[in-house]
Amino acid sequence: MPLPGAAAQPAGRTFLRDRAYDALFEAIQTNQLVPGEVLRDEELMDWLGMSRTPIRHALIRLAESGLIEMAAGRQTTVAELAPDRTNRALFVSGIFNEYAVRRLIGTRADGIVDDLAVQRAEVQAGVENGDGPRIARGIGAFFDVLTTRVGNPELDRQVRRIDAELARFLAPGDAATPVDVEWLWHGVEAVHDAFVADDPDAAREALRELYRPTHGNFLERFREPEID
Amino acid sequence: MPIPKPTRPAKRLLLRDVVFAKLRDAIVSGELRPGETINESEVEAWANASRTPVREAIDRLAAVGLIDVLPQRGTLVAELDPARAASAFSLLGELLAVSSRVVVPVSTSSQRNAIARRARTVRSAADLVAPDGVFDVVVGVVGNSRLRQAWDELAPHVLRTWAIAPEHAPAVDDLDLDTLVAAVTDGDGDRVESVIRRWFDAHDPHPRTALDAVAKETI
Repeated sequence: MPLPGAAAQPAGRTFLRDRAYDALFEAIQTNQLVPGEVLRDEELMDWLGMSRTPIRHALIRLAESGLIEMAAGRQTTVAELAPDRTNRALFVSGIFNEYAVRRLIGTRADGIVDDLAVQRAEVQAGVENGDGPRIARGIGAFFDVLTTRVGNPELDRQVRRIDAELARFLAPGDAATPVDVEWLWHGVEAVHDAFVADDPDAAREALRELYRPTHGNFLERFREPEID
Repeated sequence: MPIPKPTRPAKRLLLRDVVFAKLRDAIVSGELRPGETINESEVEAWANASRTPVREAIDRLAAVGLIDVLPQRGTLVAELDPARAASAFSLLGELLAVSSRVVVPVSTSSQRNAIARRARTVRSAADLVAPDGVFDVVVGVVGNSRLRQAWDELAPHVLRTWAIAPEHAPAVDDLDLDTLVAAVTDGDGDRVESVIRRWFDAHDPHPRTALDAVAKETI
C-alpha cells in the first residue's frame, strides 16, 4: 500500500520491508491477527520467510499508524480497538475534511457535485441495508472526492494514513465504537447540499454539526493536554 | 532488540526514539545538509547507539520524507523541497485553526497563560512553529496525540526549509499576536481561529475560497 516514502523507490522494485508491511497490514485489517495478539519476531520471520530487519521496519511503521503497540520492555501486540484512538483520529480526519471543503466550495469545480452525489447514494444504500462497512467506505470515499482535488500532496499522504486507521476502527464487529449512522448520513447530505447550493456558510455549518459529537466526546472523555 | 534500561522510569524512551530525534534535529537545523550521505556507522558513533536503533530511526525518517533510502545509491538527507514545505505549512494552519477553535473555550487559565507567555518572545516564524513555540504550545493544550503526531510529521519540513533557506520564512509582523493573546485569554475559540487563519492564509500557496473570506470578515 502506498505510504510516505514509497516514492523514493524505483518502479518495479519492492523492498522486503514493504512486503512485510503489506502482509501484516492485510492480516490486521482482516482480523487474521486479532486485537491484543502478541507479535513475536521469530514467529513473523517464520510466517513471512524473511529476516528480522525488514520485519522490524514494518512493525515500526505499523506502530506509527496505531495498528500495533510497541513499547520499551513490553511485548509487541496488535492494538486494541479503542474508542479514544478512534475519537482522536476522527477529530484529525475532520480537520483534513474541513481543509478540503474550505478550499473547494465556491470554486464550482467541474464534477464535484456529481462525484459527491455518487458517494452520497452509496452511503444511503448502506444505511438502508444496515451495511456498516458500506457506510464507512462511502463516507471515506465521499470526503476523498474533496481531499484528492485540493492538490496538496501532504494532505494526500496524511489522509491515506488516517483513512487506513479509521477503516479498521470503523470495521464490522467494532462494538467499542457505536456509530450513529443516521447522524453521519445527515452530515453527508448537508455537505453535499451545501456544494449543490455552493454555499460556504452552509458547508461550514454542516461540518460543525457533523463533528459535534466527535468534538464533544473528545473534550469530555479523551482530551489529554500536555500541560495542565 | 537491545532496549536500554530506562534511566527515568517516569518517561520511558526507546533508544531508537532518541536517535530519531537527534537525527531529525540535525536535519532540521541544517547541520546535516540536504543531499549529504548518511553513513550508518558514523551515526552509530555520533549517537552512541548500536546498529538496530540507528536503522530503525533512519527508516522512520525515510517514512516522513526527511531521508531518502535509494537502492544502489545509499542513504541521503532529502533535498530541500520548498513546495513540500509549503504544502505542509498550509496543513499546519488548518490543524491549528480548527483544533484551537474547539479547545480554547475549555482551556484552563494556566494553559492560556502558557500561550500568552510564549507569545511575548516571538521574533520569527520559527518561534511560532518550532517545539515550544507559540503554536506548538497550542497543540500541546489541544491534547490530541494523533494531532500531535501529524503536527510533528509536518512541522520539520517547514522548519528545515526556513532554517536553510530563510527567504521562504514568512514574516511574523503581520500576525496579530495581541489579538491572538486577547482571544485566548477570553477563551474565544472562533476569534483565535480567525487570527490564525488570517496569518496562514496570507502565506498559503494553496488556493483560498469564499469561505476563508467570510472567516476574515468576522474579526
